[in-house]
Amino acid sequence: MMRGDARSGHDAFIHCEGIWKIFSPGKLHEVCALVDVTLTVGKGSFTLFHGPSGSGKTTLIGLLGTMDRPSRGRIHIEGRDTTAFSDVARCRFRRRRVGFVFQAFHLIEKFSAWENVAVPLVPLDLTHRERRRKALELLDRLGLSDRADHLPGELSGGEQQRVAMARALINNPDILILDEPTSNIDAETVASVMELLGELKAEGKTIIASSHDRDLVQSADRVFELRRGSLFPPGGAP
Amino acid sequence: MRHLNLFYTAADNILRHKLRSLVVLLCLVAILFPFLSALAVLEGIRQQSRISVEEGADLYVTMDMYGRNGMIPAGIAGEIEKIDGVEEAFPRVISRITIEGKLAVLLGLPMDEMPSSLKFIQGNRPQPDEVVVGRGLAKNLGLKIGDNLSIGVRIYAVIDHVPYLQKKVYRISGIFDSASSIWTSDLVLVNLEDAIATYEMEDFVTDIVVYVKPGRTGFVAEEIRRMNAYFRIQTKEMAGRYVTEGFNARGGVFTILYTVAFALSVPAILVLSGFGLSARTREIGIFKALGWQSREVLEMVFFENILLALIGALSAFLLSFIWIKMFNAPFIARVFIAEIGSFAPFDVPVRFLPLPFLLAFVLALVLTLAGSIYPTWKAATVPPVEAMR
Repeated sequence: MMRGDARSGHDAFIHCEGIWKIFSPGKLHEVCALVDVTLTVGKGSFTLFHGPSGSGKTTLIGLLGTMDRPSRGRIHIEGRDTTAFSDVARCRFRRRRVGFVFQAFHLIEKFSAWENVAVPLVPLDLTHRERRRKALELLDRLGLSDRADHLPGELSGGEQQRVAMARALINNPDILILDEPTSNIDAETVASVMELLGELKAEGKTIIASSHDRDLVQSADRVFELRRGSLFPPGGAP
Repeated sequence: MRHLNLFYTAADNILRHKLRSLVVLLCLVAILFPFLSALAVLEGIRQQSRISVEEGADLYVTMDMYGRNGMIPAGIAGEIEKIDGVEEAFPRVISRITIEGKLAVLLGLPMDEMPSSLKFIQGNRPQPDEVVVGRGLAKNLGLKIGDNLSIGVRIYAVIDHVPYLQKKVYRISGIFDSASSIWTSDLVLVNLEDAIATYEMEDFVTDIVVYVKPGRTGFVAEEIRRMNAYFRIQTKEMAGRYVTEGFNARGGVFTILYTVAFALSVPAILVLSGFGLSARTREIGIFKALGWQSREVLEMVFFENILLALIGALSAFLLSFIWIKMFNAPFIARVFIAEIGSFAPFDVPVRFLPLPFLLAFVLALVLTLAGSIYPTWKAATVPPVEAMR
C-alpha cells in the first residue's frame, strides 16, 4: 500500500483521489494542510482519522463533508464528484446528506438547545411546531429533554456536545462527521458517545471522525494516521 | 413556509441581539425623527397657506412706488367695483407692528367686511377704538378682553436725535380663532378707519381687495391695469405661486441640510451595524455549515433589516407625533416659520402624510442594508470553516 493511499475493503461510498489542501497559496504564510491524500470510505463504516494537532484531520473531514474545496484532487461520494459542485449544490448536499459535530460544538449562543438542534430545518417547509417536535425527539433520545429550553451557556460541555450531536442528526443524514468528538467531555460522557455512535452505525450511517482518543480508535472499523498532511494506514511507515 | 420560517427567525434574531438592535434602532430614530417631523410641519404649513390663499380675494391692487408696493387711494375701490365682473372691492390696511417687542400683523378692514370665518372664542367684533386679537397672540402676551393694547407706529418728534413714537391705545374687544393657527397667532384686527388713523394716512390704504365673478379674473385685472399704469395687481394664482415657491425654497434648504446629515449618518450606521459583526460572521458560518444556502442567509438578514427599518420608521413617526402634538414641535417649527422662537406661540400646523412615512421606511431600509448586506454576503460566500473561525 502506497503512502497516503488507503483503500478499504468496503464498497467505495466515498472515494478521494490525490487530495491537496493548501491555505494561502503563493503567500509567505502558505500552509500545505493535506498532501496527496487518496482514500476510500465504505458505506455504513466507522472511519477514524488519528494524528497530532495540526496534522490535517479537521481539514480532511471538512473536505469530505463538502465544507470546503480541495486545492487539487477529487472527492466522489456515491460516484458524484462533490468538488465540482456549485456552492448551492454543496449546501444542499450538506443539508440532506451530512451531519457535522464540530470540535468546539459551534452552538449559537443566543439560541436555546432545541432551537440550535432545529437550525438546519429552518429553511425547509416545516412549521415551527414540526421543527420543535423533531428537535425534542432527538434531544429526548440523547437524554436532554429537560434542557431543551436552556441556552448553550447554561449547559455542561457534555450536554453541549449532545446538543451538537442532535443537531447533526436532525436531518437524518447518512454521513455523520465528528471532529474530536471526545476531546471536550468527561469519561462518562465519552462512554455514552461511544454507545450512541454504535447505535448510529447499526442504523447504517457512515461515520467519519477525527480523534486522539484511544477508546475511539478501538471502536472504529478503520483508522488512518495523519501526519503533516499525509495519510498513513495504521502502523504505516512515516 | 420556508420564507415564513426565515422571517420568524429574523424577528427572533432582533429580540435575541437586543443591544445590537437597540443601537441600530436608536440611530435610525435619530436620523428619521427630524425628517418626519420637519415634513409633517412643512405639509401642515403648506396646507394652511393654501387654505388662506384659496379663501382670500381674487385680486389685490396696490400702487407702484419706487418699484415696490405702495399705498393706494381708498376711493379706488369704488371705481374698481364698477368694472363688469367684479363682485366686490374694498380697501384694507395690512402692516407689521411691534407689540411688547414682538412682531405682529395689523389688519384693518371695513366693519362690514370682517371675515365671516372668524370664530370668536371670547368677546365680539371690534367697534371704533377697539381691536380683536388672535388666540396665539393673546396667549403669548397674556392678553384678555378689556385690556388696553398700545401699538407704536408713528414718530411724532425727534428731539436730540431721539425719535419719539406716538402710541395709539386700543381696547381689546375679542379674541378669535380661525382654521389657520398661523394666521391667528400674531394678528390684530381693527376697523379700517382706526387702522388709517393709526398711520395718519388719510384716504390711503395698503391695498384694495377685489372679489371677481368666476372666469372673469383676467378681464378684470386687465381693466384695472387700464385704469392706471401704476397699479400693481396680484392674482390668487400669483399668491399661490409665491407660497409654493417660498415653501419649496425652505423645503429645499432643509432637504440639502438633511441630505448632508444623512450622508454623514451612513458611515455611522455602517460602523454601528458592524457592532457584533464577528459573532454574526461566526453564526453565518454555522448556518452555512449546517446546509443553509447563501441566499437563505441573505434573505433572513434582509427580513431583519426590513423589520428594523419598519420598527425604526414607526418609532421615529411615533416620537415625531408626540414631539409635535404634545410639545408643539419645539426647535423644528422655526425652520419653516419665520420669526418664531424655539417654542412656537401658537399650535404649529401639522399634517402627517403616508408618503413621508414610506420615504422614512425606505431610507431606514437603505441604511440598514448598507450596513449589513455586504458583510453578510461576504460571510455567506466564504467556506463555512473560514467564517466559523
